[in-house]
Amino acid sequence: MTAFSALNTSISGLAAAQRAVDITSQNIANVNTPGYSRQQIRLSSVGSTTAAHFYTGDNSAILGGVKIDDVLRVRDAFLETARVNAGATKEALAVQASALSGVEGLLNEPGDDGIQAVIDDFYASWHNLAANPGTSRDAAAGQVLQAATALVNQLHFVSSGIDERWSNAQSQLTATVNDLNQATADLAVVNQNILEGAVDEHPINELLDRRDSLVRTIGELSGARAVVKTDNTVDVMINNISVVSGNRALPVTVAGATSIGGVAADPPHLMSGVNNAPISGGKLAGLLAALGTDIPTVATQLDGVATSMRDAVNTLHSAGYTTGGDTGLDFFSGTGAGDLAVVPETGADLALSVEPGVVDGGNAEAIADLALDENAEAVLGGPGPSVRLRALASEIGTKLQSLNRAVEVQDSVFATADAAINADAGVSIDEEMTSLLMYQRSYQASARVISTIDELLDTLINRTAV
Amino acid sequence: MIGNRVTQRMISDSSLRGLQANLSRNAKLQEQLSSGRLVSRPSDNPSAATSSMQLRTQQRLDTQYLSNLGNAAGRLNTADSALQDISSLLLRAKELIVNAQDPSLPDAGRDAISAELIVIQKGVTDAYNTQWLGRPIFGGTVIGSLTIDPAAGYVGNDKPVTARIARAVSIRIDVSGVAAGADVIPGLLGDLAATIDANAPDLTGLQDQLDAMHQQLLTTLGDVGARAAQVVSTKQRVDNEQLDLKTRISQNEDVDLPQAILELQSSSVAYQASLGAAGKILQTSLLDYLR
Repeated sequence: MTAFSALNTSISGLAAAQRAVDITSQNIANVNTPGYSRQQIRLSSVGSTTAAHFYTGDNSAILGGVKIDDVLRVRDAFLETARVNAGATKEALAVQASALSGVEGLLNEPGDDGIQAVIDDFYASWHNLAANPGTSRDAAAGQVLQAATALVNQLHFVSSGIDERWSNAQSQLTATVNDLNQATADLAVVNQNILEGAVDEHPINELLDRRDSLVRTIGELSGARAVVKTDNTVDVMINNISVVSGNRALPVTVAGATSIGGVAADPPHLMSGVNNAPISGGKLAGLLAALGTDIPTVATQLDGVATSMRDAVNTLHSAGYTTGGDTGLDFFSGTGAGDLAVVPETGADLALSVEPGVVDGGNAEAIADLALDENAEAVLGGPGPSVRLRALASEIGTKLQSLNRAVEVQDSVFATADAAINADAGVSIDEEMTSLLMYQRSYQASARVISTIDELLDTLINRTAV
Repeated sequence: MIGNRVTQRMISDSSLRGLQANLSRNAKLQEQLSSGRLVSRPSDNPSAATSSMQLRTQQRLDTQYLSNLGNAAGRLNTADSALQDISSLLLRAKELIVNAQDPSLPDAGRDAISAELIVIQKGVTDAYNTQWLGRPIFGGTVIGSLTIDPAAGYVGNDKPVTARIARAVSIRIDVSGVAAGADVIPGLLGDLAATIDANAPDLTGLQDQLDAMHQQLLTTLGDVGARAAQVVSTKQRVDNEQLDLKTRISQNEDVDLPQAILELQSSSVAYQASLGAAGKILQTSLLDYLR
């Protein structure tokens, strides 16, 4: 061993310590960067040259210092996949729950100003008419018409509110698809950069972080599955439809109904080129579920409330007689909650009597009695408006309650997956500070070795045989 | 959740999550306390929400039944007093008829009795035309507002007017003009007046008829009284039911205040504790101890 080789050893130590401090400073700088994976320097000792030393005959190993193998990016692919999946499920549930809760808010049930309250008031107004068929009839008949108008207006309000919620969700779908296409295009570029970086042997750890965070975004948006290839690029598939393949991104488009009326014929869906792109996870799946099933179901059920109300009242009303002796008159017209309308214009058009030529209020009483579920069912041969409305509220409530619970559960699943990644790949300031100290000390020690050798050489060169 | 390696980010994330959870629990309790309601949306408790809707429908119906009961009571009371008026007029008529049969009565006396009977006939007719909110109470379901038309006589029909006073309970709220004698008594009084005017009146047949009609009227009066009593007892029942419904709705959807306040208390303590813990643990790192 020569003094000079020890110098070289020390220099490699200095270089390694410096590089390690670099890495540590990178880690500390990115302690709060989302998606950053901590990096670790990997060192190995350099072995001896094989030949025995010529002058000393010492054939023990000659130390060659330290070598920087590479800079390791700490990230567990399995944990990452678990996080992407958990994120996709969480987003799907959360967006579905939020769409449905907007509709739930419209119903205003249970309370004194929901649909049920105006239905009850409507029936009560017929009771008043039945009780006052005499001179106070005009006032009572006016009350019936006002209550009917209030009922119709309330149904219109809720129905148009539902349509609006649907349109909002539809715009959200378009915006989300744009986000998805942006993310897949970005990922294709990153894939290209990774390939180029690998060829030029540039460090690509930061690119890999960028890649993983794009995969997370894509996963949260669409529940897509990413496949990491040996060259570190990823391909992304949504249910076997490729959206990113190497440096190519295949944009997804929105197709299907653009208003709630068209859902039954052609529910909103996504296309990749000319193929259907079935989505089963992520924000898009939640939006599609809300657009294709949840909101239209509520709209249909509300229409059921309106049409059963129309049919029940019309059946009885058209069988009765007005004071003028007219019969066969409808009370409600329209085809659903959105266009239900009141037919009679004045109180004289109300068929309040069971028989012609008398004022008995019996028909008004029969209509008022529709308030009892069994009477409405007897007239309709099926569930009446109140029963349907309660079923609607109960269904929406149950669905939303279970969605909310699932969101809570999925939140904690996601939090666990995220914490697992943070535990593995996150930067610990304590750890970095300790490393910093360690590398600082090793730098100082290597420097000390150099100055020691310098002193040795000084002794040898300047003090010997002078 | 916490693995082998713990990083600052994990601690801050989990602190944040804990704070969020505590804060949203606080917000929920706050909403319950300020609205006073445990169930303000169907998703809070679907079954409670739907039974609340059903209970509210029943409550609204009961309110309407109470209003119908008030209407029925008013109508029956009006009928009752009209029938009592008629009854007392008939008593006076019967008295006059007995007087008229006194053989020592001079012609002028009989004339006076006949004239008074005509007045009574008018009074009785007016009583039969008693109205309730524009409807003749003895006229059945006739379109006009008179039971006895001055020209055409009795124009009423015998069809019942009913009111729903409780779930599946209807009561007749008018009085049959036939049962009350509206079709017979005015004519009978006219006949009597005409007969008394004659010289040697034989009133026995007419007197018997009037007695029978009066008896029938008194029976009808009893029937009206019985129906009025039914209205009163039904009102009691519906009142009770409404109170019961109110209690059930409240049990169903209202907040149990002491419980909610206690929960809010303990939840805000938890929130403060997590704030304190986060504040303490997030401040420190190795940096504080290195020179």
